[in-house]
Amino acid sequence: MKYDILTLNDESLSIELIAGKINSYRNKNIMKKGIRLFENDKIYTTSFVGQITDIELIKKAEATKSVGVPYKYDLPNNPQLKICDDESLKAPLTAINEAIELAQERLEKYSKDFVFNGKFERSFLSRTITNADGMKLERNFAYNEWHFRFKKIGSSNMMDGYFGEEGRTLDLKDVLDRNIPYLENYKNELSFKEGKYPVFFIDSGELVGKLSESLLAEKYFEGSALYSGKLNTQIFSANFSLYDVNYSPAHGLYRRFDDEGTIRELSHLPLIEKGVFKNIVADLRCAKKYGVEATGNGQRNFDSAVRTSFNNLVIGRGSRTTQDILNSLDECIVVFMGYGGDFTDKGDFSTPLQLSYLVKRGEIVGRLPQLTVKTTTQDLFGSRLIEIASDGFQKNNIQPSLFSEMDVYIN
Amino acid sequence: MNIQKYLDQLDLKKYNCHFIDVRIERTQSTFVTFQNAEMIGAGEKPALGAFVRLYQNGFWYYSATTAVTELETEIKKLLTQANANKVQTNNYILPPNNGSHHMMTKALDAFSKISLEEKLKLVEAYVPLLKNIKNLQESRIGYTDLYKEKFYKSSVGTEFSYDFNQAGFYVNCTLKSGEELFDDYIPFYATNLSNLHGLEQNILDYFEEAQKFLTAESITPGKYKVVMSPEITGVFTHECFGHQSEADAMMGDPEATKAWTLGSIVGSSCLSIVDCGTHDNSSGFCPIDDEGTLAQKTYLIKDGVLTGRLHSVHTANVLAEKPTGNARAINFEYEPIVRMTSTYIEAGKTPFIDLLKMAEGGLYLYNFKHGAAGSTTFTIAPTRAYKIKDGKLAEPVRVSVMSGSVFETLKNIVACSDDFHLKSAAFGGCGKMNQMPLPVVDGGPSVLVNEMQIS
Repeated sequence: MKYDILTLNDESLSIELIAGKINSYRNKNIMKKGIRLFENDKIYTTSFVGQITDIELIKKAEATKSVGVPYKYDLPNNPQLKICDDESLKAPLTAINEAIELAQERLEKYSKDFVFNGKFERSFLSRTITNADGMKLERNFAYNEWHFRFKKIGSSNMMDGYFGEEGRTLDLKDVLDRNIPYLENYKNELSFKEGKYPVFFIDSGELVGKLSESLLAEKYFEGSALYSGKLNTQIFSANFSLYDVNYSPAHGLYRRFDDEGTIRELSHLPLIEKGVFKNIVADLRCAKKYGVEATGNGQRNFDSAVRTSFNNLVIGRGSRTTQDILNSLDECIVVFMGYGGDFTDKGDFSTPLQLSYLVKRGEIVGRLPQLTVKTTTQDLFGSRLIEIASDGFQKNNIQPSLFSEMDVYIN
Repeated sequence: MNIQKYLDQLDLKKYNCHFIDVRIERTQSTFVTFQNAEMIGAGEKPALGAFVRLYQNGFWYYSATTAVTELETEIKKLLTQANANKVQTNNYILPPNNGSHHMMTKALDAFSKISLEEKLKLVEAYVPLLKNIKNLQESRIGYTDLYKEKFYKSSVGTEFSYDFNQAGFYVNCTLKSGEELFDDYIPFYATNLSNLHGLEQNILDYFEEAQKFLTAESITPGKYKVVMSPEITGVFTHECFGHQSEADAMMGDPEATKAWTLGSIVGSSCLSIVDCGTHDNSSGFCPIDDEGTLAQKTYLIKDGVLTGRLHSVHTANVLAEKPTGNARAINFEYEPIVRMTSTYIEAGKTPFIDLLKMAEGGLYLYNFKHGAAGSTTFTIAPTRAYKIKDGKLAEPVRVSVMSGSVFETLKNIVACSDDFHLKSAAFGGCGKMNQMPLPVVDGGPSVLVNEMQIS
């Protein structure tokens, strides 16, 4: 009988802070397993949360199998790969306490004006895929994350701003050094004129939302994506590139194998290169269905079906630093919170800016009122793209800073 | 495993500890997914786990575990952790013993008792229907269900058990004509599988209307009068005001209650907003929260006046108010935090057609993709929007986002209609502090807002 077992182990310590002080400690140590039985060209899926041996799980799956999902593709040929970031695992979970102390020390002087609520978490994570024929894929690493939501004392909001980081190692000093100057300018609220301005989102993940649909094999080949049929054509500015990144230990990314067992050695798969649409991503099912190569993008949870998804969509880096670009712009809107926006199916994008600042020639002038920005996917990475930096807003950011002109409205 | 018997034997009072509670959850969930008429996923998702909370020496200690028969060991571990950290005194005011409440009522209709084959048949029956949808470029059909049993016991003597049962089904289609695309989704909710049969005509009618959006123009950004459908009213209530009512956002800020002083006028006089966990057979059903506080009808706004907020035991103590039954966790891996249940605007008396007449030149928003809140500005991303002309719905229009200021919008509500509806959802839910998705329900009547930012 052919099968594979996906095992996830998550051991973590999560510490919550309210008003800058520790409120709770949460301990978690949970194992989750998902098994896929391959029989008569069908996949039967069962999962379990908690301690269970592989033999017990196989018996359980055999006993409960009822509905199988047909599959017509070849399975990987029992690959083996072990990725273990021993260095990251050296410190105990309680090492996160050092980060809390540093943050508390730095933010103490601002506690008269702001309330800082947040969470610090350190996790030991492992993910393995095995079968009876020798397949053994494994990754083990430690991951850290922390954030503070801040709120002006007396504010009626749930939060007025947010900062934090996540990754293999933390650089609290860098995050605080970069965010505190803006925090100090929070009380300086400016009046503003509507118009066209350079805009820089410190977290640009949402901006690639519409474009990313076109990069999925199924959406692309079914013709239901904005850029369906445009492979190998110039669709954006020559200054814009986009990669699917599956391996970058510095950023806590170790996905050389996907959840179907496909290994991809190429860490940066070019999807858009110098504005040309180069590649799409596919899991095993889509690769077979559309006659393309499986790209190591078959993802699933222990209890879900496989779907094509990105490892990490990362914009290609430019030549100047974020600060150099800010220094060169007469005016720039730097966006710290711009969530809740969306694209229409035509690619029009709009989002309110809950927290943004005006920066002139690299100097923070003050906090802007509640604004709405509008652009399109085409303009964002095409004719209105200003520049992409060689780094992100924070040292640990895998994503470089992207500057694009947008239409700005006052709410 | 007989969880109730196990909890009956678990003595939480024997520990030298300020407060302990234990929550055990057993869930059974299934899913079926078709993409472009091809089955791509089907399976069962069982889970059994426990969450232990302990308050000692000024801090909370939590453990999420699947070793549900070894909770005494978990408690001892947490006590050791707590007693090694004696830096503060206990300042958590113990909740009262709320008694014993056992409300297991849904086992007979539990979706976990229905075979996966039968659920598959239900979904498969809808696949041929896709051929009748014009301009169909891509499709996705999904089914999910959940049967959850929850058991709780605390060191002050409160204990409860109840069960929760729901299922959902959706059809998602991307339509294409020329280069124009339009993506839309019709979801259904049920607490009985038979309610998910016979929906063919609803689906065909829905996607017939969707054809109009293929040729819809993009909206000119600006400020518009807006009539919100009950569905949009629901997400507006949830995002715009519900989250602002969650009292945990006020913790650590002695000034916060000044901005939200009970008794102050925060909305127009036609506005009353309620949160209430007792709506059975809805996705917001939560008869007792994860701290053992029974659900109640909480008026957050009554006739425009701020009258209440949502509490856990702790937030109620800090603000010298009463717990409201809103401490909820998404599953056994998380601690309860202040969350909504069923949140809605109460119905008004204005007929819907009169709302349209009052909104000349404005927009009617019908359904949405998502909403977000947390700061001064909330947002809703509508899927379908229509212009309002001559007191009637006119041509469809494409809108990215509707946004507004919480305070201004509440005061800009001009009228509420008499067409009240709660929209349950088995897919998605509310997200807060990494706890996503929590089943909630929201709704209300159609509502006219005098001015909203549309882009």
